[in-house]
Amino acid sequence: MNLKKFRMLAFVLSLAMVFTMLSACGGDSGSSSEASGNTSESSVTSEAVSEDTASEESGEELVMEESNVNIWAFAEPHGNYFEWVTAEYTKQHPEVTFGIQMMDTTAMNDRLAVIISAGGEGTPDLIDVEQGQFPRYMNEDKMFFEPLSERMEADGIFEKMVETRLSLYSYKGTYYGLEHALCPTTMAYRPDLFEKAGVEVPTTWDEFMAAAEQLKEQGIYIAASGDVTAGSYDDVEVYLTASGNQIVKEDGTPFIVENQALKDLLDDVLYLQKSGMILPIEVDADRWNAMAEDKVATYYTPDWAAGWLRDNVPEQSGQWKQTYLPKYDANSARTSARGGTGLCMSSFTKKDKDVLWDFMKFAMVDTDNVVKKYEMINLYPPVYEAMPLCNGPVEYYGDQVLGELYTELAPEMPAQNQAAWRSRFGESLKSYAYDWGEGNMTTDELLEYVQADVEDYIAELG
Amino acid sequence: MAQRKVLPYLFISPFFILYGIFGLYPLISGMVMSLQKKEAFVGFSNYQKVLTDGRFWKAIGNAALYTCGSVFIILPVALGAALMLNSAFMGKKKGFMSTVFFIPNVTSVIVAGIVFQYILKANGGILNEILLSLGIIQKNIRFLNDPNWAVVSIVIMGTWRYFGVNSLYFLSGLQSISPDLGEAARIDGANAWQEFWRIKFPLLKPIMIYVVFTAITGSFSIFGEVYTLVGAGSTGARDSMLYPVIYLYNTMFRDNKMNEAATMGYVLAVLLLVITSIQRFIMRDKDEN
Repeated sequence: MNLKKFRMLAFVLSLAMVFTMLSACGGDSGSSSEASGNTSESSVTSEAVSEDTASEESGEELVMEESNVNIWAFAEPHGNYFEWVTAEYTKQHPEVTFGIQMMDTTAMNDRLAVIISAGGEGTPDLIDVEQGQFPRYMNEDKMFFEPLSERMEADGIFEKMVETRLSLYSYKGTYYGLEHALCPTTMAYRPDLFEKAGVEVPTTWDEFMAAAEQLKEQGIYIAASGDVTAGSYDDVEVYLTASGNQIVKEDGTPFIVENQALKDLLDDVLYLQKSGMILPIEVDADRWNAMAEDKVATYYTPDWAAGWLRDNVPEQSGQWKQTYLPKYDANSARTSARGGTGLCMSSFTKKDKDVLWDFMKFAMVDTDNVVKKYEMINLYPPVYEAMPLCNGPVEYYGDQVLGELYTELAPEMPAQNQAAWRSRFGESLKSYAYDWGEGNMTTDELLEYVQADVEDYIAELG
Repeated sequence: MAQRKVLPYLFISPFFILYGIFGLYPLISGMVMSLQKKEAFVGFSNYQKVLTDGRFWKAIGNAALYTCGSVFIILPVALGAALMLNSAFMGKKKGFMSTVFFIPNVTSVIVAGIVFQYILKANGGILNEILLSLGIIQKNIRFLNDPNWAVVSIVIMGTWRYFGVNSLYFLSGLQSISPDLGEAARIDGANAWQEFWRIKFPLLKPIMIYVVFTAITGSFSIFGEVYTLVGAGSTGARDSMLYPVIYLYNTMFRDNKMNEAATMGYVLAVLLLVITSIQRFIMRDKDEN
């Protein structure tokens, strides 16, 4: 190759490289599915870009256009369900295919924050949002999701589903998501350990405290929970929610310093922990190891975590039962709510929103499908019609029909109030809990400091 | 002729295009964002807010403490390891040991974080068990919760993770020193310490400047180690695990305050520029003396 030809080739290659880079950096506002890194096995068809139509409102039959719907999810069991339910939907609507992308929940929400800043570029169509992450979007500038209230009203969703589970994904009276599970929190317990200590299974908080003393004499912890002196707050929150004393009021304002139940529960749990009646855990393995040694008598568990005992202490199959949560006071529910995940629609999506909503109902409200979900991944549906159908015995819990317990408790399910400052509360509590645990400050002082931090945060949010 | 004029620019254009897109654009865009609030120009009010934010300075203070740990603990350990690797005693095992030392640096920070949670935990943690069995402590230390031990925990993890790569830098510096110098010093009656302190250490200065510079900038940018040790949603007791990039990350992603986060980034960059300039000046001054 002579020099002239070589230069020509180099020129062409450089030109190609420059154009490739420029085109790769260019925007693509219309097609978001491929840009979002779809990793699904589902096939891709041409995309529908039609805007939201009013076909449902007008009572006309929904006409599906060809569409490839991208779903982002963070929990493997949810991913498994979506694989199944999307395949079922595609059987009925071959023109609609799906891509499911799994990622860590923090990473997912960080990516969504970037997408908001980028004006919606690369948005998924449907997103599984963990309830604890939803407050990140409770801001008019940052609300990522499509308002669904009108569609929910039109399709009678509020009559079909437990409304308190839907309010987790609401902001200023507008609803944005459909909940996967009822999340009733009950108390799993070891009847043999209570029998050994000669004590009845507690039905109230006072009985729980008394039982803890008696179990301790046998070298048994009544529970293994996150270290409250490190700011772990989950178990306290379970009782606060059940008793209607959440730190977030219905209107989203804080209820901290004046919250007597919060103060008393913190004092009680600190006492139980310091007296060696509750095992403070630093890593999850601490809990499972203590359980394996028959040293832990109870475990608060929502439906989605009921299988964790089976996974971590499988040798105790048949030794655990589930019952109502001990009542904190006379007005408390016998269950609480912990966790939750809602399927939400991106407000930036260019796909047909009627199609997306139709799929959301199919996956989250359709009786047969949500019963199948319970059978697949233990998520007890917040759909009234499906509840009695989730009645299979659970071998790990000695063939107890957990569905019956959940169905009985469903009417008592307390709401979980949401606020954008919830994460700041947790962070602040963790910051002061050490000194509180060491006796350097009283519970009143602890809550005053936390309230002050939360109020500063709210003021900054404007 | 026209081709001859265009061709060189075309050849070097990929770098400039990439730098423009991934370097210059974010730099300028970040600067613009730091002067805005909700896309409206607000002058330097974001800077005023960040510079008067107590938590930001707490984060800077924590990073400064960790920097001391990096410079005065991690680097001496790395230098010791490099001297060991460079000694005749190591012989053919030098290559193997260098690889072993380097492994922590390529280990995922997530994995390292989980392992160190088990090492540092108060009840049944490996470190506490060792210290108790040796009689050094009488009561478990809450490494990850006690604010007095928080920075120590991060330094312990940082030492494990970064002494290997730093020791390789030092090793390359030591290998560039002629053995004749040491031999001459020994003939003149110098002992091993004098040989190190008078001959090798001064000749390591160019490497030392680089290593100290990267240790300072790395310490102020620490994120993964802290994030995995304390977990999302916590900044430790008394904010003892609040570091600048953690605070910036929370501001950006949790609080959705992009403009403030950009401002923090710029303040941090300027602060590092000042610190490293001082460090370079001090080292240059010593050199001249």
